[in-house]
Amino acid sequence: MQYNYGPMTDSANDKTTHFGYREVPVEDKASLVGQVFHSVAGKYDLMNDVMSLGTHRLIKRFTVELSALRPGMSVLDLAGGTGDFSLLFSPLVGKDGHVVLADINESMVRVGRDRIIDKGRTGNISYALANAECLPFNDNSFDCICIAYGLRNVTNKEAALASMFAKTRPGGRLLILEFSKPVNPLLGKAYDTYSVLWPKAGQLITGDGDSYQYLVESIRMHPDQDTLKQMMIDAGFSNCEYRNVMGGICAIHIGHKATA
Amino acid sequence: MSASLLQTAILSGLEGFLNQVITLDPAAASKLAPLTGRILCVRCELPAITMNVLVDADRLVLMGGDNLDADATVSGKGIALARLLLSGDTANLRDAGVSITGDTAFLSALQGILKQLDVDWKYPLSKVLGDIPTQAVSDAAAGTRHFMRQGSANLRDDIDAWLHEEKKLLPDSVELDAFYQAIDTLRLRADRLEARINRCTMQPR
Repeated sequence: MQYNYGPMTDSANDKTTHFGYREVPVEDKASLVGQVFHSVAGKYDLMNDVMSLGTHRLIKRFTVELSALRPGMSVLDLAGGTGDFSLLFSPLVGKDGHVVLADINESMVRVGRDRIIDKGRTGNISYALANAECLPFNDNSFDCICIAYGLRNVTNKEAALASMFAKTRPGGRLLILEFSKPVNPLLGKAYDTYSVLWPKAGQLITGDGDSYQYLVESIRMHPDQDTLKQMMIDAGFSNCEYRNVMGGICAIHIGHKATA
Repeated sequence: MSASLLQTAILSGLEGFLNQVITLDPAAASKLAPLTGRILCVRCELPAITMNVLVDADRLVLMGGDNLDADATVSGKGIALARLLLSGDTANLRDAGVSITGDTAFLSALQGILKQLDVDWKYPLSKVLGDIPTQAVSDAAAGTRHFMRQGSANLRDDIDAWLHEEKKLLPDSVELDAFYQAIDTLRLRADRLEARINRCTMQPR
């Protein structure tokens, strides 16, 4: 199925895909995204605080509240980056449960792993370098898969959703937290104006404005709420729904894998 | 900010505060550790808010949502829960409109730990102010606390004396005792009269 959302052309049949506003060869996107996150990994959390005015921490907590995790469950924190989600998931699943922090980017996994160990959280968290499009886990492995602020960087989102569906245990759920489309046009204008400042802030704080220019562009190229919901349904998830957060600046999509 | 996100923000702030307080009592962490993984759900009916308190080694995690598997649940209206929290009176929970389900031993243990928190606030203050100013602040706080307690007791006595002795608005204890005694006597006589009437009406004519 092709999605008609702006200039997005990242289906497997196309030879190019978007990298921000640029069209790049499909095979180049992963390495370009990798360069972005290699560059910003060390100050990723600080920049998130600046860009979201600190609200990203609340939104992450709110997302975890929707995870329905119980002690003993297993959860995949995909595109887990600096480990915010893994730190929240870990006490919920307890010592009998398991959290896997996975990211395609080695620098981000290193930062996340060091941060988690520094916080004294060991025992039920492990780490993996993994491409979301072909997850290296057994099928039906996880009670919950969560990908936060990561899906928009994936080259082939359909393949990633299919892979997540395969790895989700029947009865489990997928949570996608991602920037989305504000429902109020005025809020959208204000948000666009604010986000113009991000590359400048990125230049000041991390010395890399280009990476944040990409982040701004990638957010605008990401599918809106209903399109992403349809993509989840096409991947096989059922009872899909989404919750707008902060007027749709972000959205949390929830999908379930049917038990039979 | 939506209501759910606002609740998350409040819980996040409360969690930070509680954990900060817990770190100020070195003994609290070791007492909490055996309860790791246990969850207390506090369900407020009016306003409708659900809060889950998860014990995570030496800290507490506060989360919203109804889908956690709680070991114990405390539910009731907001006012009743607030009254319970402030007074700590658990003798008449049913009368207060608060119900408890699940593992009450866990609830009791958690309540005991939080009640017995012995917060050493001088230590973090001394890191900011230094030892001598902290001692001065501590002495001043203790003096103020003593003055307030004494002042409040004096004020209560003065108001009592003014209402009873000066204004005669309230009866004193001797008058009250006599009044209660008269009511008791009247009640006994009424009971006897009722019994007598019942006996008369039940006798065959």
